[in-house]
Amino acid sequence: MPSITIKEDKCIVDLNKEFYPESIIKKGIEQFKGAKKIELSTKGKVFITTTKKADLEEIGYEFCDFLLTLIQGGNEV
Amino acid sequence: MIEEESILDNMEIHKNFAIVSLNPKIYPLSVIFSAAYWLLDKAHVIIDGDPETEILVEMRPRDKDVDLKELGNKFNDELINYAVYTVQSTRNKRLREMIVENALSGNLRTGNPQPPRWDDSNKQNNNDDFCPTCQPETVNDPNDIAQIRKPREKPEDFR
Repeated sequence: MPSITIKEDKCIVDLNKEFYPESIIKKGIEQFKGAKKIELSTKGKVFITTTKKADLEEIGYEFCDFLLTLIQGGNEV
Repeated sequence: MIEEESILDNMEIHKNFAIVSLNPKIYPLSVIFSAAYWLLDKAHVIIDGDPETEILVEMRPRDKDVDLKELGNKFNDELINYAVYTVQSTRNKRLREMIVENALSGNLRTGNPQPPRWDDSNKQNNNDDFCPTCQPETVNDPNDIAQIRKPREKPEDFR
């Protein structure tokens, strides 16, 4: 299950495409302001880097929460 | 390898996170997303699994002192809450549409407006045919059910 891994000062977020569509991830990358650099790989993984001495894992989770906010924004019950 | 601390009902409790397993046939994805969104101020949430067979919701509390089992239970409660809300709003959908239609069509009515119920001297106008207080009340009561009866006091009165 681990969707968030830390490798060489990078946070790799690998989310299930069934729940997090690529369009939402792209929108999230455009709008997320918590990281210095954030990019989407060809395999659909999100790479987050930051120059600050911030907790990379925490930033990864914040990004996932942000995606959930974007999903829910267009799907309110 | 992730070490599992305990399994309770539909929950796996780990050291600093919990995973709640859900049946998508019972809880639709929209309900799960709504409950997960509700949980965001308390925990980080990641949704995983298979949308056809089993949905896994991973929750990591923002505050380290939070009881993971309690958090999972709150999430389960919120799922039921949103599921009930969804069912009710689906049932009431037509009624809500009718209310809105009626409210909007009220602004489109043509013709003369109704006369005011009160005149300038603050007396009620009696020319309103539909005013219930201006008309004598007539009740169809062939068995005289509405009659004023004497209060029953003795046991014989109750027979």
